[in-house]
Amino acid sequence: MSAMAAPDLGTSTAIAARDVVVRFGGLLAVNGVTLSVAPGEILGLIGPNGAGKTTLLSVMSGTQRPTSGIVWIGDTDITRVPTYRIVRLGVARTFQVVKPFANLTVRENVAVGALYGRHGNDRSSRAAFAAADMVLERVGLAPEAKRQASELTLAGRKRLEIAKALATDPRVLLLDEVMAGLTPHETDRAMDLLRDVNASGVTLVVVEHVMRAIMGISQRVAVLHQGRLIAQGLPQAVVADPLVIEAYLGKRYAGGSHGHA
Amino acid sequence: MNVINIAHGAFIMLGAYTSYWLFVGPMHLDPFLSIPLAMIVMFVLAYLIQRFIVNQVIRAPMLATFLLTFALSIIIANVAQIYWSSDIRSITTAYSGSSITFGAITIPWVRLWTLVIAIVMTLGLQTFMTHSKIGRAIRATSMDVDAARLSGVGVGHIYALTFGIGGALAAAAGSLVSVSYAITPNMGDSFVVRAFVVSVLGGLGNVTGALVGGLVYGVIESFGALIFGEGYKDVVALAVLLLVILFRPYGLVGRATA
Amino acid sequence: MQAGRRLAYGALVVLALSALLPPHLNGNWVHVLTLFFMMSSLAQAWNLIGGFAGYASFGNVTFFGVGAYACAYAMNALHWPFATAFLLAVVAGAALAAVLGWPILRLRGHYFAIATLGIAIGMQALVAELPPLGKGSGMTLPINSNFHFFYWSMLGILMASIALTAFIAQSRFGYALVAIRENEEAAAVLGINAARAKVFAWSLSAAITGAAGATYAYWTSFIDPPTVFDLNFNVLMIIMTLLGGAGSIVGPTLGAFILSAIGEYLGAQSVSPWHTVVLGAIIVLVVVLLPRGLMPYLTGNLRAFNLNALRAQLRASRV
Repeated sequence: MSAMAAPDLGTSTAIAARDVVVRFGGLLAVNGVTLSVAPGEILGLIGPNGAGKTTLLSVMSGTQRPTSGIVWIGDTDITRVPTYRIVRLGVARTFQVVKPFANLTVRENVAVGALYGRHGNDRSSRAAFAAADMVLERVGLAPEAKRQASELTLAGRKRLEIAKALATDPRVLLLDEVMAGLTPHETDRAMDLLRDVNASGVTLVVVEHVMRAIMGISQRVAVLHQGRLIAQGLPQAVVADPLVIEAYLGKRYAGGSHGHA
Repeated sequence: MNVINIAHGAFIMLGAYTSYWLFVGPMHLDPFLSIPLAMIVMFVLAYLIQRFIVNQVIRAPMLATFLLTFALSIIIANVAQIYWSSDIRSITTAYSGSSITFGAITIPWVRLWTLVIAIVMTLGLQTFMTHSKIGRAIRATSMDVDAARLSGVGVGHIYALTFGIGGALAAAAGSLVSVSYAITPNMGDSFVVRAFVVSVLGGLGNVTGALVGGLVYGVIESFGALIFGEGYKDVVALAVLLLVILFRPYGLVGRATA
Repeated sequence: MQAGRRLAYGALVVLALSALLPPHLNGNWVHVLTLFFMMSSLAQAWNLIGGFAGYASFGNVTFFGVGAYACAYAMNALHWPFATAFLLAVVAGAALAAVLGWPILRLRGHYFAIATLGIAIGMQALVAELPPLGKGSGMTLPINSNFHFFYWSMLGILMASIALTAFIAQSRFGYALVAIRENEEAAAVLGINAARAKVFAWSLSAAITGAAGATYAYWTSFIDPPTVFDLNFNVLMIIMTLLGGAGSIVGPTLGAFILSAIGEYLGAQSVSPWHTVVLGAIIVLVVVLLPRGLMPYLTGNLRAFNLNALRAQLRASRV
């Protein structure tokens, strides 16, 4: 925690992890991470490859059980809660390797989220499809609604991944490299979309390698390295932190000026 | 290789018939000596079957290979029935009746030899898989086809070779059982399921595990028969199978990997 | 999906009209059609778990056998009328699937296939050892020679299973099953309780299969373990479904129709080795050339048979 103390979050958090450890055989993927995200915040989660970012995201979304540690949504302990119920509590995620339902149409893909997400139990199929249409409009996929998901371009599939998650009406959205592989223009569009989603009151945790994007939209950045949280704070301060530069580039560069991490 | 070969039983049956015909034919070849011949014949047949038929769906969902090899197995078994009739045949050698006695235990010689040959072949396969170039290529292909291909492994050939080796081993098994069991076109059926159970007990893809699995299975089957009655031995064996799949899917001797 | 539903309604109308046929048919045709309705029902039932949810069950024949034995036991030992024995068979099938499904449906791929295969073989061996069920020598049921009754019963089961499938295909539950088939983890992060959906799907599948088993037992008035737990039934369910189109609404019935017609042409009454060889060859052709079945061609999702598309598909599926 070198760069800066975490901002004072008051008593309310949207999602929080304490002392989370994930061990795969001999590998400690996440090694005692404590992190909390305030309601309405955009938190950027960065770190070199293999730092444990995706694993931490999986723990928060319930797709990976931690070896030890606790995860809360608000003040509900969700450490042992099955994934589908965590979704209904308002946490949605995307996958770095997108997982579209390839043999369904784009509209049906998104409708599944609306049929089963946070409000899934109390709305009709018709209402769910209407909600899916609104999400498609919002993310700019409406023209592709009737195509098979397998026919989309990479940028389209990344958007679909976000659209499916949004259709569950999340309070917290965990995004795993939704901008990787996109052109600069597509990245700008994706950033606009995320700002728009955040403006509607959704808390975002954004794992990303594209530094321009992370710096552009994050209100706060947390850095993972070898499973540990090595820095968090305002974006500009974090990237200037010698520990962070060392993590990315090795010790040799740590004395230098602003790293291009 | 992530292919469940239902035709394995049919290969066993063909191995047994190969030994049978060589035994009753003019050569009057001893079934233990016909093992290498049966293995060569079945290696070639299995290689061709994989190369030209099974390979067409190797990347399709698992169900496709499962059904395809099932279809091959019923085709082979029924063609065998058409040409060789469903008469029950057996091999009776000069030494078939003799046995060896350790105190209270009497073991027929043919069974003892069968055990020894089975162990030698398993250890041979294990050595082949870990030390030979082809063995390493097979293991690499089974871990990641595309990475293996990029490393210069001819994966099409490797898949077919693996199938061929499986066929050869099935043939050896067929020759071995031909001296102790009745030979019929459908004899393979009962071995397929047992082969599955043994492989799962040992851990899929684990060669020496299969040997342990085989021993454990044999003991369970015998004790199941002893405690619950002969008819219950399959029930007990399959109950054990389910428990292992549910609680130790990596096999009895294997370790969980991430 | 729209075109698929229209085809389903068409099939239901045709089947409803076929209820008028028996008085005009000879006994052999009544028998052949009753068998066709039964196999179609079994394939429709398999499609719910194998086609929609993507869990290729090799244990569905277990529910056929259990349904048959439940009905035989209720009628033979308890002297229940067929209607209640039938209900018992349906409940027994569904309950067994629910109990087995909780642990088994957590398995995937090979492990699920082997586990269900193990259940099928194990249950046959178990039933063959239980004295109240006649051990291995089978059970007799009261004889009912009103074969039109069985024709209508099997037809009813088939129509019910098609209607159920059509309903599920457009329901929230149906989308959950398809999402599970396409990607189970992605389904879970959208809020789907995959374990419950799979178990429910398998129970529905087992209920239909048990119903067919019960009707079959009463129809033949004698059952024994090798007949009603015959694994070839299970393979037929799968291949009929694949031939018609797994995950479609009436594909399984279409597949059953084609395979039954071929079987009839080859002389299904005398099961010769050649007959089985031809069946094997058909399976090979379906698996290699028609992995998505015939249905996509009928519903317009795939354009007419196209050699280049076939070559591309083959290139993608081999190494």
